[in-house]
Parts: sequence; C-alpha cells; structure tokens
Amino acid sequence: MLNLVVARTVAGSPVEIMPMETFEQVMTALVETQDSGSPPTQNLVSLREREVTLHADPPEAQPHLAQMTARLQASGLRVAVYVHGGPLAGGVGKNTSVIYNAQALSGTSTRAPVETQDVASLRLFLAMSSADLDTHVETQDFASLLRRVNTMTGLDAVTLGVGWTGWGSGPQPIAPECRPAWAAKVLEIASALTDLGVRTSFACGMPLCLFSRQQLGHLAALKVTWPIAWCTPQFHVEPSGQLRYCARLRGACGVHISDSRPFEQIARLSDRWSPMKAFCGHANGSSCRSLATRACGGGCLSHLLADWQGPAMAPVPPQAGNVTEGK
Amino acid sequence: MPNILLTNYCNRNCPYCFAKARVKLGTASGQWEMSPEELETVLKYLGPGRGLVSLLGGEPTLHSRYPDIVRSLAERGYDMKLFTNGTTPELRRSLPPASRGLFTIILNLNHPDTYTSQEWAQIEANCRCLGGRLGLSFNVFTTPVSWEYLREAIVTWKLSSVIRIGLAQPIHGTPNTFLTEAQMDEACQALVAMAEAVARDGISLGFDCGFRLCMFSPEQRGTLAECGTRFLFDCKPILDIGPELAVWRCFPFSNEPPVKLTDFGSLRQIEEHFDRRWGPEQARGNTPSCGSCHNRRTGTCRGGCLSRTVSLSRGGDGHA
Repeated sequence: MLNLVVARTVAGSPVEIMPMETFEQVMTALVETQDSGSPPTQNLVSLREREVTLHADPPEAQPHLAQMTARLQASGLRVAVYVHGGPLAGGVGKNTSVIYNAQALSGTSTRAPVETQDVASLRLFLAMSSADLDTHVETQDFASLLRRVNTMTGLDAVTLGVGWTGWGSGPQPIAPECRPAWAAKVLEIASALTDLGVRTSFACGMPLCLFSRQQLGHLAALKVTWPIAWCTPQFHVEPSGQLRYCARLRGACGVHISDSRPFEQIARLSDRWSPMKAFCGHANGSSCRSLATRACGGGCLSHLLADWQGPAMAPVPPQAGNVTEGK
Repeated sequence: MPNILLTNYCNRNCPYCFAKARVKLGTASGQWEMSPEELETVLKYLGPGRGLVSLLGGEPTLHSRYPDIVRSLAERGYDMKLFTNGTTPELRRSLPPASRGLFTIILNLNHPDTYTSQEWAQIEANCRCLGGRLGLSFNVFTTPVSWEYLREAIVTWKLSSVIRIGLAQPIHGTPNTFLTEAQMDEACQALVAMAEAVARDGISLGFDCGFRLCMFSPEQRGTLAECGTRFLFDCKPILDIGPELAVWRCFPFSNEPPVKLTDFGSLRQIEEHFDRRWGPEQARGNTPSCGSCHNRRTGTCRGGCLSRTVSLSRGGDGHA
C-alpha cells in the first residue's frame, strides 16, 4: 500500500503541495523496487490489490493531480484519491476511485466546512466512491452516526476508523470499559450498511479482540472486507518527500524518497518493530492465535510504541541512521 | 479471473475431480494441449495492463511447452497462479525470474497414502525447492476429514501458511465423489477444529467457492475468524477456457454445452451469459430456506454451489 500526500491543508498554515519533482522521485523508487524483486516489492505490489492513494486536501490545490493519477495508472496501479471535499472536476480520471472523509462532509470535522457544490461534485463519483467514518466512542453520538449511514446508499464502501492517536500523543482512544458498547454499535453500523448494499472495511490499527467471538461470527455474515484487524507498512510519503511507516508514526523514520532504496528501508524498520506486536496487551501476547495467523495485526503499532514510552521500558526507536544496506 | 486450461489430461485420478467430464485422468500424454495461438487469443481478453493469469489443466506442467509459456508470460509482465498436482519435476525446473511479477503455486495435496513413492518423491522435491512460494490446496470430499499431513508438510517444507479449502461438489452426469448434505455438519466441524489446530503454527484456512454461511454457527464463524480464515460464501462464473477456446461456467458445469470465447466481445459478457442461463436455479440456492434468507438478499451468501443446486433439482443425491 502506498500513500502519497500530494496536497495538505493544516489550519493556519499555507497549503503544502507535493512538487512534480518529488512525485517523479516516488515513481523512480517505485519502479526500482518493483524490478528488484526484494520483499518490499511484495508489500508494494500485492497489498490491497496494488492500490495507491493520493491524499489531496483540497484536490484543486494540486495542479498536477490528473497527471499524477495517469502516470500511476499507466504503471498498472489502481489509484484512489482521498479528499476532505473540494471540487474534483478534471482532477481525476474515470478509472480513479474517490475516498472522502465523511466527517468533513457532515461538517463535524475540525477542518473547514465543505460547500454544498463540493458535496455535489463528490456525488458525481458516488458509484465508485467510499467514505471514511470515525467511530471514536467518546466523541461520537452513535444515533446521529447511524442516521448519517442511512444517507450513504450508492457508496461502494465505508471505512470505519477507530481514531487511534499517534505515537506519544495521548491516552488510549477507546477506554477498556467502553469497548463492548463500541463493538456492539459498530456491528450495528456494519449491519445497516450491509442492508444498504454498502461494504464495510476497517481502518488499520484495531485489535481483533475488541469484538467477541459471537460478534466476529455476525461480522462474517455481513458485507465486510477481511482482515478487519491489521497494521502493515503504509509507505506514507509526505509532500516534502519524507517517507514514513504510516501517517501516525510521525518523525520516527527519517527516510526520504530520494534515498537509496527507500521502500526497503521502511520495510526493514517494519521488520524491526514487528516483534513488539508479540507484546500486544490486548490478546495475551505471543500465545494469541489471531496474531499467529495474522488475523490480527496486534493493534496499532503507533499506539503500541506509545505504550512503551514509559521511562522504565521505553525502547530506542529505530532511526534512519541505524538502517544500513544489507542488514 | 478465468482459468486457462493448458492441457486436458492429468497423470493423477482424484475421486472428487471437478474436471472429470472434460479431462482424461490417469495419463501423462497424448491428449489435447492449448496452442500458442489459442493462448494469445485468451490473453487478448484479459484486458490492458499487467493482469493475473490463472493456469490450470488437467495438469498444466505436462504441457509440452510449459517452460516456454511460463517464461513468456513472465517476460510480458503477467502475474501467474498455477494449479498443479505437484508430481512433475517441471514444476521446479521452469520458474520465472523472481523479479518478474508474482508466481503463486497452489498444489492440491491428497493423503500421502494415495501417491506412489515416485510421485511423493517429486512432491517432496518440489515443496523443498519452492518453499513459501507454494501453497497447499485441500479438497474435502468425504468424512471423517483427515488433514494432519497438511500441517506436517507446511511446517517441514516451510510452505505458504494458507491452505485453500475446497468442498467437493457434484457434477451432474458424471460420477465423481462429493460431500453429501448429510456429511456437511461433520465436515464443517472438522474444518473448525482444523483451523484451531493449525493456527498454533500460524497456519490459516482460505475458503474456495461453494460454502454457505449457514453451514457454520456464529460461534463457529467467530472461531474461524479468530484463526485467520479467509471467508468466501460466493458462487459465480469462474470461466474455464479449454480446447478450441470453449468456455464453461466452471468445472462442475463441464458436462453442459460450452460457449466459444471468440463469440463474445469480453469476459464480462460471458459471465453475464452464464448468469442469465443459470439465474433461476441460482436463485433457489442449496436449501429450502435459501429463498427467504436475509444473507441471500444482502448478497453476503449466494446459497452455496450452483452445481449442487442443479444436481439436487435433477434428482441428484446432494441430500443423501
């Protein structure tokens, strides 16, 4: 899975744009990695059916969006554009899927409210679109969430996020005592979406054991994309060309897309971090059969590393300087 | 993605074989092979860009030009999935370069007692050579279900950790061995126990088509999910392309008249043809309750294998 942030809006700051030169470096690294036949190739070409996601917030801020999309598609990759609203006309081709942040569309996001015409623009792509929906239990009114779900007829899929915090940035997003209620409500949402003909997928980082065995059995009878509990390298490229394991592991990698074999460096970091998942606090650690069979990714790695930041057990996070060729 | 039949003969003779109606079993030569021209025609239907080519037989590695076919497809950037019985040395001798796309091998492994010592030696040599590039396939065709040898093979030979699970289905008009409805409960319980047992070694199951949701209770499905099982409760046209570019909906329908590939403009049109042809039967499903089932309406279950439904309607013994 590859995520390229080609345009990003942060409140109070100018829009960050990925220059075409940086995009070309991504393409070069991608082709080199695919030709090398090394393990990261498998991650890049096979995970999530070779999909590349262009994060464009707002899409009209990236003047080369159409060109970038076409280049990736010509390489045999499926392209999705992730937006928080904004006009898309001319920005994406007919074979491009659109993922939109439903928080933004509903006006509940901290981002700027979306204009009506933006929503209309997105609806042009409805048949091939999906939406992201945060289900963070302490901030969501589930009744209103279900009402919003009922407006999503015609969507291809809705991704339910859990709203995990980034490395070292706060407490657990769903308190243990809230988990049974959260799981029951999420099951209700997935069931409602199934009745609407909409597929449910889950954003990364959720431990499988948030659901009971019975609830998992019911999820298996719904339109749900499996696995539901996963955490894999996202190969997240910032507008500046900085490459990360994922969007949430901020500043922990220090690899640039112009470095030698950048994707392989991230994959090695992933290999180094993966043993930590055996200490997953959710599911009895390494004896967990779901962890063994990869039915569960051990929760969010970012969250797991945050747990380890206590003074007694804090690990030294791998840095780019520690990663050398051939190791 | 359709299956391309490179040959219509196989040196094995599995009792449940789905291809029995069209494939000459127990022979290693002397039958039909797909020509280079026919293969080129099929590839034109796969669409632009680098796609997945699914190679099947008979036994595809018995094709006299098998090494050339694999090399050519790899050079042209296709990913390949090969279904094989694993008993020929050609399997390990004709591998595409590692840097050229994906080459997935599915080896259908029956109980070791059913092989000659020479056949088993070839399977062992292939598995040792191919390791994690090779996944095992297991067809459930009788009860009790004996599967322990699969775990031993995966652990010993360090094979892919996902086992493809197929349910043997009736082929109307052809005497193959298949699971009857009366055997389903026992078979499904065995699969849940198998999933739990192999999960300890990090091995999981992946369902092939023809399963019904209601074969498993929510508790059983939950257990399977915890053990990493890849669910599939679907039944749709696979498209098996064979001699003279004949196309069948899938192997269990190979006793039915095929269509010709070149009579259609796209693979999608052929799928739609078969959906129209078998729509009324598929709407019935395997069981009397399928018609009113909520999971059928939402599309999360297709009512089991269509061939089983058709077999039942024609007086077959799916309900033994």
